Formats: sequence, structure tokens, C-alpha cells
Amino acid sequence: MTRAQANLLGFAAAVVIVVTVTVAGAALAGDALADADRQPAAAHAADRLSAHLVAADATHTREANVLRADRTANLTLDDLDGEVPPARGRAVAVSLGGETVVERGAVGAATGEGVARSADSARVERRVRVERAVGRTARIDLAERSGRTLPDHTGRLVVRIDTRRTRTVHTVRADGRVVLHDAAGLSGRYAVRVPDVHPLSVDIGSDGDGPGTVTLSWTATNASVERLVVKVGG
Amino acid sequence: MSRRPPVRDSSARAPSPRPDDRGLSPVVGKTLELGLGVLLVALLTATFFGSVAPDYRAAVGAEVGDRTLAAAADRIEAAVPGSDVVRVDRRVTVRLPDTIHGSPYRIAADGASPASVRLAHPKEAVGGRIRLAVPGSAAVRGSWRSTSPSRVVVTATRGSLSVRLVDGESAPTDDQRTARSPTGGSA
Repeated sequence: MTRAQANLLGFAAAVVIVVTVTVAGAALAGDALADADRQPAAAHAADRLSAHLVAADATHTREANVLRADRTANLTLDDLDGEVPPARGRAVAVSLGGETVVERGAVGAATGEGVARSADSARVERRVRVERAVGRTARIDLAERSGRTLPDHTGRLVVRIDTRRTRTVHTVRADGRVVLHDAAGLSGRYAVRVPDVHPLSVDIGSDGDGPGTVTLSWTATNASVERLVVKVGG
Repeated sequence: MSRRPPVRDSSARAPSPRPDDRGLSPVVGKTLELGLGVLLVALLTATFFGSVAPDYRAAVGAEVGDRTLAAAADRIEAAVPGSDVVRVDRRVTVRLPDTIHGSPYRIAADGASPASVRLAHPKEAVGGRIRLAVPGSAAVRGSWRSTSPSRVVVTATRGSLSVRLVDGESAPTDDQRTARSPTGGSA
């Protein structure tokens, strides 16, 4: 082999290396560009939608980041579109604690856990407190006891008094304050405002020795922390 | 090329190279190498500047346009207060890239309801429209040119919320007008 052919081999190797490096560089640049494609409009819509879902002044929240379960479950796409114009006409999926609240269209591939944003959709995740109203009832037999402690009431207390003629209920106290009083005797159903203290002791003041029952009905709040996931597609 | 059969009968084949031609072969070889090298470089250059680089530039331009529009929408939304505000006089500066894909552009409110802004650019691939999450009572007007400083001017009086996109050049008249307004804005 002579010197000229050695030169040719070296030249060929150089050409191959240069072409390889160039193609690899272009491929890397293409990957970087694909990764940088973020759909900012979808991200904007997802951000606004999640902000509305936990806003203090929305109809389905009690305060910021506290959602009422029943009203949240009744949310419709029309409600959200009206409140959050950027989400109009986009694929939307809102789920609370793993259960879908509203859904429209197919929201891209951003379903994998830990994937914040994929190429064609944006995902926002928030931890929220979800409150459910649970109705509770307690029955007090006046022959045996004259009061009860409510551990977890919110709002009003409904008192239903049912006695025989030999017993008269004249006063109902909540946390020591008189909330109902009639010296001639209370009977029937009363909805009363009670102090917002927990636990709340309710005492029934009654005379006589006949049988009688007082039924207390109140609303308890059952709260849990859930994951609110908002996904918006292009 | 350099290995040639030994010359036996030079008189029978007149054009056959004489021994003193052999000095030419390295020159021809080098010239060929040089030509191939130049060809390769020319090919690479043509590929990059003819198709790869412009494609990337267009893709990045579209992406920057999308982001600029989203960022502008963010700034406008942040400048607009809630619908329960009685009086507002607020100016917020917005920084926009001077050019996208080498050209200046405009961002304009398109007066529709719900309020939205649109990016207008000479290149078709760059641009778009984004809806704003502002109270329904807000009227968004005006436009920005990317080459001049841009601001959002929010004024609210008696329930009417006005949002204007204002360029730097019209700033003095805007300030004077606002100063005389009942909001008593002190810039």
C-alpha cells in the first residue's frame, strides 16, 4: 500500500466522522426542541382552571382550598367554561381523589404519574380539603338523661320535642346558654342557632316524671384531604 | 494510481505516460481530496442553511410566540382585580421580546366576549389567540407593538372595568387623561 492510498483512507475516515457528528448533533437538537414544546396556552388554561376550582369566591367552595363535596360533584363543563374562559373548547379532565368530576375530549398523554407536562397537555395537581355534610341524629330519653354532648356540629341544630302531658320541657340550653325557653312547655320542632363550640353540650330542662323524648338533628362535617388533578389538552 | 505497469514498449503506445509523468499523481490525488472536501462542506452548509436551520428557527419562533402570548395573558390577568372592586387605577409594565423570528409583532385585544388577545406576526406559523380569565364585566381594548415599551392600564369606576393595552408612545396622553378622571389616579 502506498502513501497516496493511506491518505485516501484517512480522508474517508475524516468524512465519516464529520458526517456522523453532524447528524448526531442535529438529532440531539431535534430532541431538545421537542422537549421544549410545552403548549403554554394549555398550561395557562390548566392553571386558571385549577385556580378557579380552589378559589374562595367560587360557588362550590367554602373557603380557599376547601371544597364542598356535593357541589363539586355537581359541577358541569358549562359552569367551568363560564367561569374560566381559557378552558373553552379545550379537552378538559378534572378528577378529585381519583374520581372524575368533569371530562371533555381526550386529554393527551399526560396520564402518567409524576409527569408534570407532556407535549400536548398540561397537568396541575393540588391538595384540597373536601368537606361532606353528614346528617346525624341523637335521641334523648328524658326519663333516663337530660342532655347530650355533640362532638361535631356545623350550622343549626334541630330539636324535636315530644312529651306526654305529665312532663314539661321548658328550657333547652346549648353550651350553658338558653336557646329555647317557654315556661308553659315546649313541644314540636325547632331549628335553633347554637354556639360554634366543639364539643357542644345540650341540656334539656324538664319538669314532671312522665316519659318524653327529645330528638336532636345536626349536620356534621366529614372532611378529607384529596388530590385535585386538572388536565387540559390542546 | 502510482502503481503502473513497467513501461516496456513506449514506441508502440504513443500516449502512454512517460516516467516523468509520475510526479503528477500526488497532485491529482490531493486535488481530488480537496474537491471532495469542498463538496462535503458545501453539502453540509447547504443542508443546514437551506433546510435544518430555517426549520428550527420557525419551530422556535412559533414556540416563543406561544409563550409570549401566554405570558402577556398572565400579566393582563394579574393586573385585573376581582369583579367586586369599586375603584382601581393601575398600570403594569409588560416586557415582551422585541422580535420573534426576526420580525416585530403586535399583541392586540380583539374586543370579543369573552375577552381575548391575539398575536399578529408577519410569519403565518407564529401567532395565535388566547382567552383571558378576567371578570365578564371587564372590557379589554388596545394593542401593543413589540418594539415599544408596553403597559396594561386598568381603571374601574362604578362597576365598569376597563383594561387597555397601551404602548409607550401614547403614555403621556394616557396619563393626563387618567389624572383628570374621577379616579384621581396619581401615577
